[in-house]
Amino acid sequence: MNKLGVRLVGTVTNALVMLFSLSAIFPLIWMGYTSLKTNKEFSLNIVNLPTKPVLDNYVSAFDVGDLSSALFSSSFNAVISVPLIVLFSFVIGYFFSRFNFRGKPLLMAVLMLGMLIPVHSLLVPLFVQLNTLGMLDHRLTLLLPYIAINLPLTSFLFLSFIRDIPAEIEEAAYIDGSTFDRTLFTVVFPVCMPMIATATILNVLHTWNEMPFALILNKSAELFTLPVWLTFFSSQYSTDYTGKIAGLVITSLPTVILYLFFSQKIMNGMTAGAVKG
Amino acid sequence: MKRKRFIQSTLLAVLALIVIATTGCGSNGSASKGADENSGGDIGLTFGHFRVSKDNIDVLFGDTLNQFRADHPNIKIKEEAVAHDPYRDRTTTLGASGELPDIFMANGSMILDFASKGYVAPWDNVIKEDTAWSNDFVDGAFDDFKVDNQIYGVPVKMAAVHTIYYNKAIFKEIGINEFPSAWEDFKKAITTLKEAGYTPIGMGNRSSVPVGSTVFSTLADRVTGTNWFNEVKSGERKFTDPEFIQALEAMKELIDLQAFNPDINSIDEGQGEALFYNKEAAMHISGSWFLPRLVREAPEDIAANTGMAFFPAIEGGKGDAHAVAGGGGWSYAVNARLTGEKKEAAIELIKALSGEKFAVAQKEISEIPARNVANYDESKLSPLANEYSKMLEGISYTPVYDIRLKPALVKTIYQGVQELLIGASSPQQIAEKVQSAVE
Repeated sequence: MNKLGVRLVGTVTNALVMLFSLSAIFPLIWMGYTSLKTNKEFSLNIVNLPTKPVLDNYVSAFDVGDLSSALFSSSFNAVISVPLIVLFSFVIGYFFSRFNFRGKPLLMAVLMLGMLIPVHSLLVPLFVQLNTLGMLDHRLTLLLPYIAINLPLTSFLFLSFIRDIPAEIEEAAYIDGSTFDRTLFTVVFPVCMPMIATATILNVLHTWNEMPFALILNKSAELFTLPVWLTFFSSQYSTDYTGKIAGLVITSLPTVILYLFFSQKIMNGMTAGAVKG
Repeated sequence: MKRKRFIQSTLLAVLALIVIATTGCGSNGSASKGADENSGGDIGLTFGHFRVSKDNIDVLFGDTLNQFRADHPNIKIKEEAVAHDPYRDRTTTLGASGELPDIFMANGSMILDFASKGYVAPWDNVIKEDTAWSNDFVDGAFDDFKVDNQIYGVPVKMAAVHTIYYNKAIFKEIGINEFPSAWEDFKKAITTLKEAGYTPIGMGNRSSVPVGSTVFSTLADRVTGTNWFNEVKSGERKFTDPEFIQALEAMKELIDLQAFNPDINSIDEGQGEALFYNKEAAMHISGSWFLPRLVREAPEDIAANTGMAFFPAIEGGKGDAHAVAGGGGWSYAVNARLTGEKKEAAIELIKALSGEKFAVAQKEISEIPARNVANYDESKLSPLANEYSKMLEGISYTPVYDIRLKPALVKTIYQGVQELLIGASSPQQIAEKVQSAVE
């Protein structure tokens, strides 16, 4: 009886969890098949499967705006800014977790403020600042804001992760004659691999999806990123929904692939802080 | 030690590179801009607009721009274009920092804001001098872009912000062959439709704007008349006047007849359109912009059976029945800092985008141009579009609440209508709330 009860609870829990994962995966599946529908079909019913799938939306997506330069801009921003964010955050997190120095609470508070101020309230001041410096509308314009805006969260992630790594590892390295830098980058850094994977995917997502800065700070068509390109499917009164969804598939494919590639590492990263070793 | 210094200097170098590269090229950019102005031959203009999609009007706009470039090789136009919705955010931000492009599209409320800050140049002299260009504009076309009796924008096009699209087949089925031309008959039709199991009017009003804009602006004008609106805007009259309460009561009459779908406040516009496409609703109320979409996306039997009408006259109302809420909406504006040949080039470009030739082309893709055009090719329009353009001949445009009033006030009125729809407030309560928002 008791055994049966346990099994029943297990089955019900499993079914519930499976329902949840279905609700998480369904939007992706919906996006996939909706991109094969025509706008006529879409306007009649948004959930139905396509009656006869067409690839027109993908073909015409290349005629909207300038897809190739948007792909390049987004990739460029992510490839340059994400490694820098991860590197800086790792070092900041390490110092905050291992050392006590004068002004540390203040510095941490400043970093924390970076997380609390909403991006939209930064738009106008940042625009004015970059405008006075003559840094607007350039291939590299978005890099500094992207690095700065993502530093706080990533630094705190590294801070809490490194706090849980036993300091004995580093002490052992010092006894063997390792220098500080060598210890930092060849001993601590590899131990942080799960968190590096997590931070990478998180920041790639942030920079890849970022819209307000990309829209305001640049104005040349060739510098627009994918989120800005996606809006080009809408005119004043109407939106080419299925075309836009095909565009969404194109833009989210790289991040989905990246996630699948890193997902095992992310799981480790998420649970790594939970159990003290 | 060596390694440490290496890492430090690499990091510093990367950051320094970013800063130097962006600032360096930034100043290069402005230097070349200066050169443009001085070289005499070339005139550089920046143009902010939202014509980026593959819609007919956006394609026409692009073609006209390219034609202008070919005709004026010395005018170099740099487009700063993003889609309509982000364009509004972007322009508001640019406006806040005073960095607007040389020419840009601006709506009524932007003009109101920018004119008071001196960012946009008035058009009155140009309109007076070049009557060949300015004479043929539709009556009231410039009204949305007037601040203190000065005109600051040239209308892009006209839009009727109210049209009843109805399913002729359903109306025939319940025994009505002609769209009712009196308010009482219209209400009777709604009762009959309801009894036959149809949703009389299917709409989505989640954002509170659709019903407020496409139903209430016109319905209210039928009752209050346009004079009352102008007087209330200038502060001579109040929203607690009997006129406005009667307008809300007319709206309530429709609601009491259960004219709208019960879930109206929780679905969006697209879902409201689907009710009409699926024959669940006999009528859908929207603006002139819905027509091209209907022709393109509706099932064929729906498109073939669609008729169009405006609200009938309301007995005792002060408004003209041959009128709809509508207006220019968006305009082309010129930056006030432009002078000399740059300003002339900008004016010339805007004339090309608002002249006879452009208006005819607009008409032929089923748009409503801001000027009267006589000679266009009717065969290029769909039958529905032809019928619609006949309906709009000689019509007068009355104020659209969300274009003429301040955003906060609009929100109070439209949310009031939303509350009326679910019976949460009475007309009297809403009128008092709106009036207190004014004060």
